[in-house]
Amino acid sequence: MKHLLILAFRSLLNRRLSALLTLLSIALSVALLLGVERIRHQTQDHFSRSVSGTDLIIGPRGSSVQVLLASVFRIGAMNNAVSGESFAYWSQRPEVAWSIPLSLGDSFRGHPVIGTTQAYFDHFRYGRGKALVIAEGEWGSGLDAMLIGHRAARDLNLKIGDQVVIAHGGGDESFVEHGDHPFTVTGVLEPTGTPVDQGLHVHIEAMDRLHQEFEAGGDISKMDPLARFMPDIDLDAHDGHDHSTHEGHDHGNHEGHEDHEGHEGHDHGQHDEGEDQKGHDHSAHEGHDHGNHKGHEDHEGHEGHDHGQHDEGEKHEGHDHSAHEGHGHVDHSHDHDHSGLHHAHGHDHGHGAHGHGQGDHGHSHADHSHDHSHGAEAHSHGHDHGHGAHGHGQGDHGHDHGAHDHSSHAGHDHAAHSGHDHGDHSGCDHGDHFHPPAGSVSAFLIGLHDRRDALALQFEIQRYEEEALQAVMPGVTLLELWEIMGLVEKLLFGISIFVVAVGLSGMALSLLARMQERRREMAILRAIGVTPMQIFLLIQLEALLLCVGGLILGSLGLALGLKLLQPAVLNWSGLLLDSFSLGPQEFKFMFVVLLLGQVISLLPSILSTRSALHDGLSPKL
Amino acid sequence: MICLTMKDLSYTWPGQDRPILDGLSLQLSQGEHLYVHGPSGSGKSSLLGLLAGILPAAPDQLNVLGLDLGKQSPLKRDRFRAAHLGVIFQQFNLLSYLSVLENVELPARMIPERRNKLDGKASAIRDEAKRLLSRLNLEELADRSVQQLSVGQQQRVAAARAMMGSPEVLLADEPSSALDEKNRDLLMQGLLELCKEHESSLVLVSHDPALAQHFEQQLELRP
Repeated sequence: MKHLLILAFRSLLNRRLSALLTLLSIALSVALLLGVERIRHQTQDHFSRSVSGTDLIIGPRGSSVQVLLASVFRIGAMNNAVSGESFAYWSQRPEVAWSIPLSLGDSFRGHPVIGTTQAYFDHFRYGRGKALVIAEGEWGSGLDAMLIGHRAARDLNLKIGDQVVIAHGGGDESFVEHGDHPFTVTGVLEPTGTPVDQGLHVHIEAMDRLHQEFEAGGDISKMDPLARFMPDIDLDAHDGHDHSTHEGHDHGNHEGHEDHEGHEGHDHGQHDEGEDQKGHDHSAHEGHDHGNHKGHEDHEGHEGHDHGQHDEGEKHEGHDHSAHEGHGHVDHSHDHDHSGLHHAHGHDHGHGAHGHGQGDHGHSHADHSHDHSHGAEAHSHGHDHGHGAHGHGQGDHGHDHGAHDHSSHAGHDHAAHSGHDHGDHSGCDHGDHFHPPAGSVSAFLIGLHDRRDALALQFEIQRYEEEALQAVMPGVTLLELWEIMGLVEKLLFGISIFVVAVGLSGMALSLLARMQERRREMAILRAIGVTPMQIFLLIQLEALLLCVGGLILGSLGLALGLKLLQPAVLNWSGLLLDSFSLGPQEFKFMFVVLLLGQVISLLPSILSTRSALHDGLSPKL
Repeated sequence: MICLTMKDLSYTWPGQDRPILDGLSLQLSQGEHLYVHGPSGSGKSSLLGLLAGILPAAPDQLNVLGLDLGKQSPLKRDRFRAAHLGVIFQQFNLLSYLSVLENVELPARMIPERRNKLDGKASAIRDEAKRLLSRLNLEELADRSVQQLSVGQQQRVAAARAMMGSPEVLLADEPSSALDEKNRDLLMQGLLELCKEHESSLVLVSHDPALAQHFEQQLELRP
């Protein structure tokens, strides 16, 4: 046997060109097979280790896979949001141990920007329950603070202190940039091997501000010629607002507004406590005291802001009611319930008061008589009104307000509000990406005190009547994902098996093609006394050597290929390919390849043996 | 001791009506040589095939070294050939991917029976191969590739290989037909010397009457 092996080897060496080609084709097919299998495993592994300890992911109703992919893997986008009210409501459920809000949809040079809170770093787990660790720096509480993932730091060459201007949208190409508020890198995370490494994390409030600026801010000025003359309309500019013109106006209020600027992320939903709404009546608005606005500072805390404060009459005097009276406050007496709105309203009126003709006001207020509900948008509503008051044409104001029926506050759908973009600013509407309106979240992750509550809670969330939500169990949805991907995987696997079969058939073919010219060789061996069985073994051994060689070459090639492709794959998919290693799975496949090779070689082996038997000592050449 | 007995030996190729060999009888003592001649198609190759155990003889017609080849299974005949017979073809006797020395060693390496005659040691096999090559004046070529040899040299290497492990019977199928006179004589001289040394019987098929003088017995085949 040993000598047969040597003979087989020498024989192969003798026809090294064809043997090498055969070897290469086997090697390539083996590399494909092992590579596909490896990447398949690693993808699964990568996905399942990316999230751990999260019991439910709650997002807008739709595809559960989409919610999972977007919230954990940053793949794809969410095209809807969860209102702040819902987030607050479910986060405060007694079963819930922690909740992490996520605001998604923006990116910086292809790296996702995630608006979240400290809870993300306190509670998020990956792998086997590992927490995120800050390698250097800290997140900080500043609105421009940005904590970046390991790979984001490496790929973007960012270090602490660098400034980052966020693109609007998820792609590599940013068509709009918010130059006004660069973020500053304040910390870098330890590597995790999960999509977290790619991310740039900012405070969710900062994210909201970004978007609100985008919608209510600078761009408006580009689109509305009148607005140019009204720098005040920019939220930031509010502090710069010239209050001196507003005789009766209490400037103290405005300071309150400044706080408010910080509040863009401010969750109006939470403010939506019914009593407050009632308390806030525009009839009382006349008595509106900007001093109240200081009360807005509460907004930072987001906790049930009590708009009732607005009703405190004592300080009304400061307010220029005369101007207001000219407005259509009658309309206002409709419902200005909504917390966030109230806030906005306060704004508007202030602005309106600021020297716009009553006619304008009257106009806008008439609009107002429509629906001033909704948390987040309500906020911008307020702004709009302010703008209107500031001298935008009636046309400006005409936009959404018409649609708002104040009397119908209660049932107001926040989603509809996204259409709240000033009608004129149709250009603002970036249809190709979506980020949650201020105060709402793209999705949120929750952890429970007791995992066993997950199913019940999930069921409840799905039936939540206030908003169409869905709760996703990461593990279950991952399985769904594998089921979807299973087909593709099977297909890939099938293809690679076929490629291996083709490679091995090529080997059988070359052995067969050689058969004719080897008849003399067989006759010599027969003459020496080599039995037909040994001839058979000789051919099988040659096939075995080719297969083993192909396996070795293929594995080495794959190892090298993975090493070379690793950065590209990581860049492209965020998937960190492990370097090649031989495990039971690989050995299983190698064994299958060897077995298949031996089976396919049966044909040339049997034919060679038969022809050797037939030829005897005198091959007919 | 009787080396070879043919008793009314006949052979008909499968699918043919007329026998190619018909009623051959002779007896050859160990150490005696047999010269077989005849025109093409007279069944010389068939006779060698029968003697080598490649072709199946009928029972009781062919006895080599005391074994009735007609009663043996194909595998037994293969084993018998491996143990006791050396074969030289007309041409292309060598495996092109082995060196000259390796070609000579091959039977002893592949076949346990031959190896056992040389104590089974690799060094013994090598020594014997070298000795055989030097007996045929080929020692300088030992490490050459087969393709570098002349046809005459190749035939002598084939002779050395056939003698590896001292087979009792050497079967040669027109080994000198492709050689010039000088090479033919070198080959014949070497073969006869080695056979004498190993007390082997040589059965040689040839067209060349000049060779007949070296043989104790002659067998003429007719078509």
